[in-house]
Amino acid sequence: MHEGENPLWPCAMAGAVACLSGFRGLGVIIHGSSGCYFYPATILRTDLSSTFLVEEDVVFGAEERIREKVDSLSPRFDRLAVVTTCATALTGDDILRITGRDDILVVDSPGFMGEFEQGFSAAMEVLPLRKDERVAGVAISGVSAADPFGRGNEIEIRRLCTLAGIPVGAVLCRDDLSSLSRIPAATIVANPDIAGSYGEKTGSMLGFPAMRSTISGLGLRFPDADTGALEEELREAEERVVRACDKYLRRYDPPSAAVFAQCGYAGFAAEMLAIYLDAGITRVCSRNPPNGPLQDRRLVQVQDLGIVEEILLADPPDLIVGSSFEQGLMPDTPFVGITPPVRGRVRLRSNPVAGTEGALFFIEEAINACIDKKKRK
Amino acid sequence: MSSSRSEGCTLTGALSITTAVRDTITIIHGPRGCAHHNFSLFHTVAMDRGRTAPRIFSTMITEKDVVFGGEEALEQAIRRAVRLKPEVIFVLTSCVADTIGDDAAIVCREAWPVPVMYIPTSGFLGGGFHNGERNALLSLATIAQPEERAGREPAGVTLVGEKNLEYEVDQNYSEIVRLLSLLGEDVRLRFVRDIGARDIGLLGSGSLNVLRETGLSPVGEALEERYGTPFIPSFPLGLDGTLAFLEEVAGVSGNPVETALEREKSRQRVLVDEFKDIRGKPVRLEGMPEPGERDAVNELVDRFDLTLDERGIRLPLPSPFPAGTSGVRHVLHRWRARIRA
Repeated sequence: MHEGENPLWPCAMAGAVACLSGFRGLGVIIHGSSGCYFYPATILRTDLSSTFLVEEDVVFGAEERIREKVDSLSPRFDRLAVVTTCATALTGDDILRITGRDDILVVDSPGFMGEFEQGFSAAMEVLPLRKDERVAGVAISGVSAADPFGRGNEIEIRRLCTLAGIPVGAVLCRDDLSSLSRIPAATIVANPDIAGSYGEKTGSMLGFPAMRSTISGLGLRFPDADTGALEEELREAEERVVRACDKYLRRYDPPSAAVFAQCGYAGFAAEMLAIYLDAGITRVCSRNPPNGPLQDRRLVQVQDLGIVEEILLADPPDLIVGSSFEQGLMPDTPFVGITPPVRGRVRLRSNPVAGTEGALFFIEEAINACIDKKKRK
Repeated sequence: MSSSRSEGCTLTGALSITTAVRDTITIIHGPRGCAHHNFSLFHTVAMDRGRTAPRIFSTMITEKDVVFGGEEALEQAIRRAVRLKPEVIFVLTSCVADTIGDDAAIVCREAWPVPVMYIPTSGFLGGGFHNGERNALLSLATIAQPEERAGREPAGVTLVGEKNLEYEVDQNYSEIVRLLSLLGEDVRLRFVRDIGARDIGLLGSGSLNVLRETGLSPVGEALEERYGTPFIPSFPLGLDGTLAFLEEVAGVSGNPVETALEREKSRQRVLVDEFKDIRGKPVRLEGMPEPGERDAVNELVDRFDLTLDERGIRLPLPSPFPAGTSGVRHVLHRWRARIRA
């Protein structure tokens, strides 16, 4: 009944802009109105431009607006990208013809095309990614300014790579534009839903089980790397989690948890809670179409807050993992924010969910949320 | 760049009004993303104020609807909304719905079991944020019938077009209530902020409409024509503006103004004295005030002998400028903090 009520996830245009805006030196122009511009500008807080169309531009043509914007931005950036919006995808402006420039990256990702991830992926497809086998190390993929854990994940994975002596050659998508021309072949994934198809993936760093497998893959790929140091770090972190969860379970029953996030983060959270806290997972709901190994679990795509409300009312959990959308529905239920938006509290630090620190952070948040609630009782 | 290019979407403007009416549902006829981007904004505002986020439905237009038309998707969305038994359903249209030629107004005129009100928006094709806001106010005004006023003496003040997305919206309201109380007047209706759909019926029964900003004058004029209610075109901005506001309200109500003016002037003298330490500072004002706000800013620059200097201390120009003497106090606190930092 509640399909279409309070949609939870941004559109393809926002995804494309999130991808492209991560590269210093690449100027991003949103070809559309200010209404379409403000959302990505607000969530990304970066230097974005727009053709800021009004009705007369659609009636009389927007060619001059495009040319003006391209001319004014060209001196400031090494390269430009234009992302279409719903209206301009329908009017079909031919950016390359209008500007006479074939070096402009054009991403056709109107909002009605689909969700954030589709736009992000479409933008990655047009990026001039060049694999360079001579560049040592790995590229980190699945990093975005739209992800509240993007920067934290990057810092954490860089730390772990340094520990193992593996250089990080590029970060997709948070790097200099010039880095795209010399990307290492191997990648480590921070957020699998926006990792794209580039490179040879050694695995994800989300949660201890995935990390174990990734470290093993890194050992095979980089025989000289000190993956033993990573294994030791992983063992110590896991031990701390086991001890903390064990202590919690001595006093309290494990929580039932409902998880709402992008597919990869949702799987990570559900797995960590089920394995280490013996939590009963009532539902795992993905913002984007489910993919990968979680397809055989009770994982469904839920796009609207109205549906989330039905789910939560039908089986109220002890713990909600998701965004402040879900938190707002049950403000008295313990909550851990792992997907945007996470509103209602000041966040200045760059916390990760990837890597050992990410796993520790997540379990710490979950246990503290549950304990705080018990204390309030 | 002209403000119409940068002021945001008609949808956001209209939603800022429709979502402030309780027990109603607003449908955006457009892709899911349009509804999400707006819902996300309203959710943020609601979380910030400890309130519940509004219900915004999307018709979820996809590529298929773009090719074959989206009116059926709108009908389905209205059916879903009807089942939740709202008092009114508002329908707004995106630029996509307009571009593919859907006639949302006709769909809204079908026989629905609850009132379904079409509000002209059309995304950016219908103008900008302020167009959406004005159109929503004018459409909602049609809910109240002129005859509802018949036979009764007009009483109470109606606030028209409070900026529901404004960070200080409730502080501005409190200030207006305080100023009106100096003249023995009270606010009877907030059109539109946190009211029920039935409350709109009071729209024609007030003695005075006070508009939030001069840009809403077409709404003030329409309401005056419809109900005969005079209006003041803006919340008071600045110190002199606040005194003028008291005189204007008294002029309409016929209440004596001298005592109210004296009390407010006394309050303002204390305020100016409290901030005498910023007098004569070199400052650089940053921002683009609206024309009415510029006077309030210039007044402060003059009163405190601030020196405008490109190398001076950077002070933010508040826009929208907060209302009344209390609003000036907030501005001065912000400026003094910057000067001291």
